[in-house]
Amino acid sequence: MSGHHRLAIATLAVALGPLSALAGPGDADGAALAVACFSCHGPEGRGGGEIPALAGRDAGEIARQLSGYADGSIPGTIMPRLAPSYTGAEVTALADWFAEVAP
Amino acid sequence: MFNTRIRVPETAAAGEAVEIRAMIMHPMDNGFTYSTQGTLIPVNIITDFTCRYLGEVVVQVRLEPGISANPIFTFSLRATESGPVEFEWIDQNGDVTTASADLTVT
Amino acid sequence: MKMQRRTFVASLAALPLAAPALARGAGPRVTVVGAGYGGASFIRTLRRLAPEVEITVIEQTPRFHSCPFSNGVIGGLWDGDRISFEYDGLASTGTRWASGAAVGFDPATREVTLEGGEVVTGDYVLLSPGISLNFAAIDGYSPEAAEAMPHAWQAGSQTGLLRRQLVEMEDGGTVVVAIPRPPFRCPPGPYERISLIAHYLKAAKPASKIIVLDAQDGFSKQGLFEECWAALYPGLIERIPGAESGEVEAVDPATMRVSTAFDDITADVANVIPPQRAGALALDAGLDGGIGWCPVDPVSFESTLAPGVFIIGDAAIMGEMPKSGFSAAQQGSACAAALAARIAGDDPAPRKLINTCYSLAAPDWGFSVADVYAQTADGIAAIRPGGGTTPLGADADTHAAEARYANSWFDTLTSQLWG
Ligand SMILES: Cc1cc2nc3c(=O)[nH]c(=O)nc-3n(C[C@H](O)[C@H](O)[C@H](O)COP(=O)(O)OP(=O)(O)OC[C@H]3O[C@@H](n4cnc5c(N)ncnc54)[C@H](O)[C@@H]3O)c2cc1C
Ligand code: HEC
Repeated sequence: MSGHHRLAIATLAVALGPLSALAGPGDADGAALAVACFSCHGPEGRGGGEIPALAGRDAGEIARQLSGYADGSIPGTIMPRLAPSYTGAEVTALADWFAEVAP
Repeated sequence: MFNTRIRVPETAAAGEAVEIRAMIMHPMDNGFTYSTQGTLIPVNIITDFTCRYLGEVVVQVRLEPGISANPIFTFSLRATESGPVEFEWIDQNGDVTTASADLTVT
Repeated sequence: MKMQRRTFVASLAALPLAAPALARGAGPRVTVVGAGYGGASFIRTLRRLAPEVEITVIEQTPRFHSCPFSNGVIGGLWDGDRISFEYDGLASTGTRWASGAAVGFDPATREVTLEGGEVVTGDYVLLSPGISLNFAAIDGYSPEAAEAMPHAWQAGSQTGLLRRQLVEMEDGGTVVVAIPRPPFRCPPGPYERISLIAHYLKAAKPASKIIVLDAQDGFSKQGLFEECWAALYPGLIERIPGAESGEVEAVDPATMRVSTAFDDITADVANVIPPQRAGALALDAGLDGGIGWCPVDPVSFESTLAPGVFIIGDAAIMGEMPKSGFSAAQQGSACAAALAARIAGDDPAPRKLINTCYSLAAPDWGFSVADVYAQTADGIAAIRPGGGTTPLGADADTHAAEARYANSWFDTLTSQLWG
């Protein structure tokens, strides 16, 4: 990212919580990771029919559920197969990103 | 024994030429290809195919490396009397695979 | 919320701080060929990330017909409306919409020629043209023959034709489904289709049978399909695999004969799916390098043969990601992000992408294969451990839940793309 652009996005983030996860070298990029979830969980995670919404939910709760799917303590049809492929940092970034989207 | 598929009509008129098909599921490794591990796959082929009708040899073929996997033989047979059509494949180790079907001549 | 963000980002683009390309006023021009799963997702994401870009969309069909969920039309689960979408929603995102087929593409100048003669130029080109069908690989098969023996592997009139033939068939008829060698779009698709045809025949024409002539030996989610076939459709489906000479070599639409090296079967309904390659526009432009599918950079999806040309979806070689609508849509948004980064003067960042292929083996019997993929400079690979299919022996509640989720997924994704 060019310096100019990063500065601009940092300002933007104040107004739009979820985008704040975009920056931060080395950090997991919550916004980029979350896009992969939209086809099932709806645009920005606002829900897709029978598949639950994630937008605006408590970040700790989302993170606990993802870790639970990953370690097998929470049953499910598909999340137990998807969740193990995300690192702890990515789970936190995803949870934080969805938590900040207006439901 | 390898898996085989044969096609012999159930019935035929006396004197009719019927089409026969015989296939064996066999890799026919020609000795020139490599496994995914990079080792040469040794020659492993069927060497002989024979078809008998009413106990008599009607087709006999000697196979060479270079014939593709799962070889199929298609040929015509003149139906004369009701009786068995028998097929036999022999691989390079002398192992024999057989199949047969009855042809009823009306 | 969506609106708010769009206007905010738009005003950002006007700031003098922004990258040089943006400061010029008019943004770069991007030409998109194909508004299917890959193209539509790309357009939506690029609009959001780089609103200043001028997007011209070239699409040959007046409405989009989705292959996902088209097997449900063929099996009579729902009618054709469910898989048919207007492009209006997508067009109204501020794109220039050029209806008609692109008939020529010059990768060096990035000029696309439309059937009417118009030439569209762009700074960047995105191709998501899907597949072309290799009719010539089967003796006697052709677009005309497909009017008698439909492939229904590109949705639309072919889907309706196959459905009609099944409805008009007498009870006791023989349905032949011919499956080509891989790679083809949607690895579990033929087997989902067989299942849903069986579902229809079991209720409406129980004396009929399905003969599957399959060039493949094993297939996607085989255990899961066979488990369902044994439970719901015993004796209805006979499959001849590749090793038993299942590959179809010739067809004769006049006599409805379908032939392998070993078998000649006379069908009442013949669904002949031919081998496939990248969309014709990409092939004709040489973007496949002669191998049938287009090599691309695994992070940006830029063609390795033509700079400035990005290729996604079925037409491209995507490492371990299968040719699915789900994958194409993921690639569309990742590619748009990569291009937005490029325009802003940055390097594209590798991502984690998801694919899930849901299959319905009956209306309430669903299962899936789901994986997360990592983009690296070397390719796109599934992350292990993790991923995989619904376990064998899953209970009825699990299959029913997966069927409901499959329906939700389809409605959710299609409304995001074309809604
Ligand atoms: C029966 C069946 C079932 C399937 N089920 C599923 C499923 O359940 N889930 C799933 O994820 N995937 C499924 N798929 C796979 C899915 O259809 C494809 O992987 C997906 O459509 C690929 O997207 P794409 O953008 O590459 O191509 P497409 O979606 O085919 O889009 C290509 C677009 O480009 C246009 N186009 C092509 N050439 C030109 C040209 N020269 N000029 C103008 N326009 C052009 C076409 O008209 C089309 O609109 C299924 C496929 C089939 C056949
Ligand atoms: C293929 C569709 C699909 C995709 C892709 C998907 N999910 Fe899910 N998700 C589901 C389904 C279905 C459930 C219900 C639990 C189950 O059956 O696995 C669910 C449940 C969840 C839950 C628990 C919600 C609750 O209220 O119980 C969380 C959290 C979640 N998903 C997060 C994610 C995240 C984060 C991603 C992207 C990295 C993602 N999901 C991608 C289908 C999907």
